[in-house]
Amino acid sequence: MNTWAKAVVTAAALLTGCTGTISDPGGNAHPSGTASGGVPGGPPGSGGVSGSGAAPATPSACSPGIPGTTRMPLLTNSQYDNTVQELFGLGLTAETLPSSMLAPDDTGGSVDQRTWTGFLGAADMLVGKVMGDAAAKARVLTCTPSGDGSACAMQFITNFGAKAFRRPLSADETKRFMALFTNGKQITATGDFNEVAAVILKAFLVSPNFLTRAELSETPEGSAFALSGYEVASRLSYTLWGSMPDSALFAAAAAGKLTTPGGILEQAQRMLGDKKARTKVASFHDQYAHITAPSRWTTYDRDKKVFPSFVPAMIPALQAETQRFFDYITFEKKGGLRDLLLSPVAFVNATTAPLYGLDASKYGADLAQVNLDAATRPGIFTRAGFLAAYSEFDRSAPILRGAFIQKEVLCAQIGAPPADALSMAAPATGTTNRERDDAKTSPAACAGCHHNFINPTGFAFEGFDGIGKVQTMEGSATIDTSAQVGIGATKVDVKGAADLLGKIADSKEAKACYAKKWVEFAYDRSLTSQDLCTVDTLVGKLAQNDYRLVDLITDLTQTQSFRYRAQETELTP
Amino acid sequence: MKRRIFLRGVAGAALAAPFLSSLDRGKARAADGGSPKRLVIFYTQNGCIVNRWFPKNENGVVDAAALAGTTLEPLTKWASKLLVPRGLAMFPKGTINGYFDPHDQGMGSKLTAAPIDPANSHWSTGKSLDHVLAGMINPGTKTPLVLSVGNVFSNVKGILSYKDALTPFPPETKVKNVYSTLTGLFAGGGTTSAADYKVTQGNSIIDLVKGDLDSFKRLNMSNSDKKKIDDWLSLLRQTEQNVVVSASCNMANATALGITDASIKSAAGTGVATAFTLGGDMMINLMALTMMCDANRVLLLQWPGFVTFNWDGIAHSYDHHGLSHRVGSAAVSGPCVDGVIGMITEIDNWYAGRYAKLVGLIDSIKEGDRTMLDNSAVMWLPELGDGNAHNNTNLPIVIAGSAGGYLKQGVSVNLETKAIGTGDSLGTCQAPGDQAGFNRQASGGNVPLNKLYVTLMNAMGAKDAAGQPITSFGLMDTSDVAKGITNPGELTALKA
Repeated sequence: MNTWAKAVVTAAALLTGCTGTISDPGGNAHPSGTASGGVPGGPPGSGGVSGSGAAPATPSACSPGIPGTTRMPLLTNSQYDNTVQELFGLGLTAETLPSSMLAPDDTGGSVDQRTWTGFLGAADMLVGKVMGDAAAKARVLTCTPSGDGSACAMQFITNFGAKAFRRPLSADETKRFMALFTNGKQITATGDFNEVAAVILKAFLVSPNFLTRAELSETPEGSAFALSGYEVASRLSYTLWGSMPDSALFAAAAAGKLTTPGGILEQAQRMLGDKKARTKVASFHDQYAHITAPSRWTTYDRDKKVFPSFVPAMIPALQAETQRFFDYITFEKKGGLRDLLLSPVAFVNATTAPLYGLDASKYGADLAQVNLDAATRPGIFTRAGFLAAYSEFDRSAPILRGAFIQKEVLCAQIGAPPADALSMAAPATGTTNRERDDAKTSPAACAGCHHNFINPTGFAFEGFDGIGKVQTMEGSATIDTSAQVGIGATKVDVKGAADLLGKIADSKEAKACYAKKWVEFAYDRSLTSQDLCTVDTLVGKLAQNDYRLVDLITDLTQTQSFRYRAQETELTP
Repeated sequence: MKRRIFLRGVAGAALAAPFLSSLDRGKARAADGGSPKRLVIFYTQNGCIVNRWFPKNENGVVDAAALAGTTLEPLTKWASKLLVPRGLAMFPKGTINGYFDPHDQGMGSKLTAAPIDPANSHWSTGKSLDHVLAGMINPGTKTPLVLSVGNVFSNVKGILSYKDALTPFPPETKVKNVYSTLTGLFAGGGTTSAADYKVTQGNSIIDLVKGDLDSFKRLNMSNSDKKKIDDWLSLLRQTEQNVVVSASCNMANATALGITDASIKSAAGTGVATAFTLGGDMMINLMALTMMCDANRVLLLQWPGFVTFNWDGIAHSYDHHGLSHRVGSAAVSGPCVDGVIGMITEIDNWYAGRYAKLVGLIDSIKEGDRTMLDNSAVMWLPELGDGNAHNNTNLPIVIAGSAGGYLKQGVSVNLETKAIGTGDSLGTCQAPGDQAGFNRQASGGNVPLNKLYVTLMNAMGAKDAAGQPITSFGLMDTSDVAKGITNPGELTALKA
């Protein structure tokens, strides 16, 4: 489940001077799976909705403790895919992955008919494939039955069960699965060992112990409960890998090494060296930049009259460039948030090199690492990927760029619009983007957010055109990229995008925003007031220049709420 | 799809099959013992050119003359089976609880008649019509069939269906999945000894799952986790019951509808053009098959709005949402895209063609002495009314089929107390170089959409907990949260 689809992180208070926003440009134009709209600062309207409708208030300050969580979160489709790949090693392709048969990821609530049918179908498909694939079958059935086969069945249930449930089976569970074996003749056509094993395998795959990341231990520790080593192993593996624990994690759990921060850290650091961690971190950054399809990044067209060098082949290349940059900064350079925002490194190929003023003939189809001019092109948001995606058909789009930076990079909290805000837009008079955007957002109801935060941020990026090339002229007018931009409650004067990004990298807002998004992503839930204490700690660490992103990620496993769980409050819908 | 498919009565072969979707007969059988009634919703986004959408008369007979030159002209063949309720508006609309976004509300409030959460992800705070109705009238599953073509947003802008307050229900987008739930139901001959062990096997596995859930339940679980466990257990109890599969639920009828492994594969091909053309056609075929199998009586098909039309002779550079604003982007003002009105007209016509296909297909399936369409209500419901205004008043809605004689047929009915007109989508962008602004034209028509839903629920034979007809739906029918439902009851003017 994509937690950002459930919640939007929020700043401590409404931005000074920002009292309204145009919501509609959000429309379908902010199509990544996140709710990118502004969040009102105040509580929901006083009328409220009676009964189950009222949402929990968005937290605004740290309050120490451990947030209550469900004890049986369902595997997401992606976790399901990764888990069965790990269990069976079938080498399934996109078309044959079980997620292609599962219901869309649930966003909470109970398992319904559609979800259940999906699980049953996926289990049938997997059992068929495993029993028909010698290698996969050998991985699951590690013994050859002799006599009545019960010894081998017991071994299968014990060993495979411990992997499928991500913990050893209880005696009662083993007994109930063995009962299937004992009834083999009644539940299969011939009672043949393989046929019965297939039924047992299916039973594992539809068990709630497989389908949920159940946390069943009940060891009180103050007002909370300490997780078992196996439960911590699962939290580690699903957090850092999006998949089930490997044998080293199981061994650490069995040896009782996962109950201390130090033991957890040792595993977390090891796990970040695995390519599964790179995939998981990539998926975080895809969400951070709103790349995940369908999004502005994945489908667009540009007016060839205005941008003669636009070719559709740029679109996937720019997406790949962006993803490569995030991976490079995190895992190769072992950099920090400042590097994401300010590094001059870029990855280009023959299609995208000209966007940066580089000679296409020097590059092939593969991405090559280059150093750009840090004074013009610092960090991910001056790369053509972001700039082109956040543009319109025939022009750059300061409002889209500005709204993105304010809302997604600074987590600016932008108030709700007054009634009729949409119909208040003034005529877009003027000859430049800047003049037109300011003119149409000039009514007081719009100007609070637009003139102080959104528009000036976007104007600083006007040095880049609708496909991300440097531009200095708009028609006959020289482009002015200077602006006074609100970063939280502070106003800063900037000369252009590079200047602005430097100030953003220095700001507490960008650090808190990045940290909040990580907390939500890693813990797979909406931010709570308890989580804000974690955010505060991370903000402090991000202020140290040598604090690496990989440190931030492993630090997420060091919190109390990672090792303990608390009972959900009964207010949770 | 011209071929007529004859449904061989509703008495099907009893087949105990614990792993099939349960079809627990008898609970919601139409009162006369006849064919089941279904509600089908065809949902499109970004509004339309309202000036040409409606039949020419806002009150009176809908016939070829009333449809000529309108968006609904492709429905001429079924004019006598159409009902056009005029003057409806979605509530709540506008700024509610301090939040306003026409798309979020057009999606989140449309089928829930409830405000969206002004904070967090803006999910709706109510349960949607499809889930409420499925819970009341569906045999077996209480989950409606919610479909979409193509990629859908996983945020509020892509979710129309809510299984509960703040609990979005994303649509199924994969034709293969819809198909495989139906092939599992295909009548496969009589009971054999092979089936006996399968039944025992299914029951044994379900017992294990229940055992696991029971052991969860013995722990100190939160109320919210307890509810999840209980819901899962009750789902398992449903699937344990014997199912009755409609005799017309079979491979031959699937093939007659054009549904084969090969066509499913082509329809699942990549790209938005495939998803909208082959994929959309296949979804429509699968909806018809779902109804023949009686696997669901509440069906919903969404067409996502953030797409650039480039198929069936349409070649656009701008996405549908940008065109609805007239400027080619999400901006609310600026220079009109050249020929924008013509482009929107092409899209409106294309959707009318898809809706006509759905209506025609369902009408080609015979059920007793009527057609499946006669036993259904197939409603084209929009996210927005006038695309340029992004409004939700005077909604363009048409319903085909009488739901077994409950609804008037072949008429437009103005539900307002005065003439309402069509609204105006043609105020700007008529000449090259025009500037588009946000259309501020007031549009008449403020009869709460909830009342139509109440009418449709009763048309489907739904009953409340006390066994009485439904009198109200949703949380509110004005934009005043505190007032709740002020105008309960159905729209008697629509009843036959």
